Amino acid sequence: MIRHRGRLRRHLIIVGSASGTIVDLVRGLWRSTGGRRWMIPLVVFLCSVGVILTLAAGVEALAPFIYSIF
Amino acid sequence: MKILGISAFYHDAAAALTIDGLPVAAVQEERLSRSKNDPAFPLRAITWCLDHAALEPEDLDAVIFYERPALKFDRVLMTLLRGFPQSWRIFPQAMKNMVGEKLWVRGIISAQLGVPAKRIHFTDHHLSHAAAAFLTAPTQQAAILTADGVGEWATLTVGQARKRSGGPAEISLLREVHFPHSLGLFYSAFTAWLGFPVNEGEYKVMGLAAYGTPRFAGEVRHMLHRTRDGAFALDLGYFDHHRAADAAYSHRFVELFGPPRDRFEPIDPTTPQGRHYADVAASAQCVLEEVIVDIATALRRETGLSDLCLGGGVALNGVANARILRASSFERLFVPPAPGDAGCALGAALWADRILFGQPHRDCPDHPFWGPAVVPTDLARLAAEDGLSCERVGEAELMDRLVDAIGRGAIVGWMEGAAEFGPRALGHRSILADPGDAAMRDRINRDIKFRESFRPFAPVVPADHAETFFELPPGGARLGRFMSGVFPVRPEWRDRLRAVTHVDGTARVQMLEAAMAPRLHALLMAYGRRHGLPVLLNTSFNLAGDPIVTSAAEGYSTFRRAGLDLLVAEDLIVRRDPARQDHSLEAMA
Repeated sequence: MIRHRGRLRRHLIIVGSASGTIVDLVRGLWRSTGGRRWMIPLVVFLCSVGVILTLAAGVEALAPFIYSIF
Repeated sequence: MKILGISAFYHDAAAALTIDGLPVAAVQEERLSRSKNDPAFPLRAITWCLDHAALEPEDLDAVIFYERPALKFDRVLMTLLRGFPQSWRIFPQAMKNMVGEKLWVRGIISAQLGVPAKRIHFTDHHLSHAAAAFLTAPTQQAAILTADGVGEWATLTVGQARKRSGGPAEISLLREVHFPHSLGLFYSAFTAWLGFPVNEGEYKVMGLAAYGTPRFAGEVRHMLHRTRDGAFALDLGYFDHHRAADAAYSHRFVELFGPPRDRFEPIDPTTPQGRHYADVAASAQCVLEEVIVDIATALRRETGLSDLCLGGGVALNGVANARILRASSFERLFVPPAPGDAGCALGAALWADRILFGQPHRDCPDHPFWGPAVVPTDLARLAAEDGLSCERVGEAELMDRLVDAIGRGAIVGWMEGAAEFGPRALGHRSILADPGDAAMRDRINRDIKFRESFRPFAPVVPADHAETFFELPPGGARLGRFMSGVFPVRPEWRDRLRAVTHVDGTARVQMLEAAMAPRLHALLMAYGRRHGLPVLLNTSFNLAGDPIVTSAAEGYSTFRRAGLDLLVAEDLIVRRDPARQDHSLEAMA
């Protein structure tokens, strides 16, 4: 039986593991042979936005403040 | 090792569990959520797989996702940037999709299952397809060809693979074709133009193609041309999949073939407009076959291997598969029962076991029945609540009654054992009927499946009788095992197999071995003894737009709504009460 976790906890786990994914992405772009290192700032920015949106979806109290940025 | 494979987030999510290198459970999320092609994270499927094996998530040694989300993000971002400024409209939606959910797969799996992140692994999309095709096939060494819409960057790969006895397996993908050049997306553009849903209606294009002649093949060859290195390239001026999320073809495509079909307008291949649609479908099918046969032939020459394992959504095209077998000089062609993305869940789990963790290869059971089993007592309870006749009968009497009823024109819902993994009903969740009556085909299309009249039905025949009724190339029996090939019906039998013979004289036949589904095999043999030919019409047990039924309750619901005559679950038989049904309809009116 899979133990059901609350939404907040699930989203915090997702946010917590995001750094590993971002590092993987950046490492992949840094090592790419196609001269795509220029994309790294854009990728980091987009991923950061994603993390913030994920946080907003999980922590309702923060959502109005986060959405007001956009 | 206990390994859970997951495919999700694009279409047809699924979960598969392997223990000590062998599959023990695999099911598509749609079969449990009842939402066709459900792409959501397959929590129901995972829960069922773990419960089936009496495991907790902590017991898993590894969880493997069927593709690399970071590489996919890279492709989406690059495509949007290259498509600027046309792509600016879809940029926010695409980014919300990716960075809002799909990029964080490791976190989602960890959050949903409570598995530590270090136990979560990823593999390449096309390696999952290759593993699903090769590691489940009864061959020691084979060439590999995978083709679909798109994975991360790859849309088609070729390679070779080998199993060492007592050692790990090896899969080497030698070359790949990259997005936006894609055979799957090429075919999907025609699917969309013909008014069918993409990722769902491709088999309708294949069915419609039989009504047409490929008179636009020259134009289509210009759209999908061969390159000097033996691959292919799309003329991107005709397509929009690299510029827009919800468009497949461009204005140039419409200028060439005319306005797209309104999806609510029926296709009648006897009218000029219907013939035009059929001719376009036939042209796309013809060129797809030419390209894939050429690639397969070159692969055969390059590897010198006699077996080919074919994976990816394009492997669902039974007409192309049969042509590969006839024309590419491969002796055997292996297509798994779930060659699409759902099958990647199993492929990824097997890849992790054999290749990531280097476990010795073990031959997988050669059948598709890895889903939830039917519980006949549930059916008995439901039928009793509705006051329908429900009997438990012995095997011999059951066969006798069914043979008699089908011979008199009854349509039977057939449920047995574990559900199939993959898009096809291969004998455990089927609707069975007389294959000789053309009116039967029309009745099932119109009244039961509510689908287009031009679509054919498939026959099922015992494997050792298949040659009698169908013209099979060498190796054809293997391709027919999971209904993966379309073959000509022998002319002398076409009249007696009218309900399952397509307009071009072919049929997508399933060749059933007794060991795979013994009860259905026994029914076919009994039917043959009584009526002269051991062939039945076999179509998936569902209504249009629904996934194939899984449980007895879903089978019973479909039986009542579709007006089937009999429903069989193991040894339990439920009979429709026509008077009662008519009465209920009158009351509703």
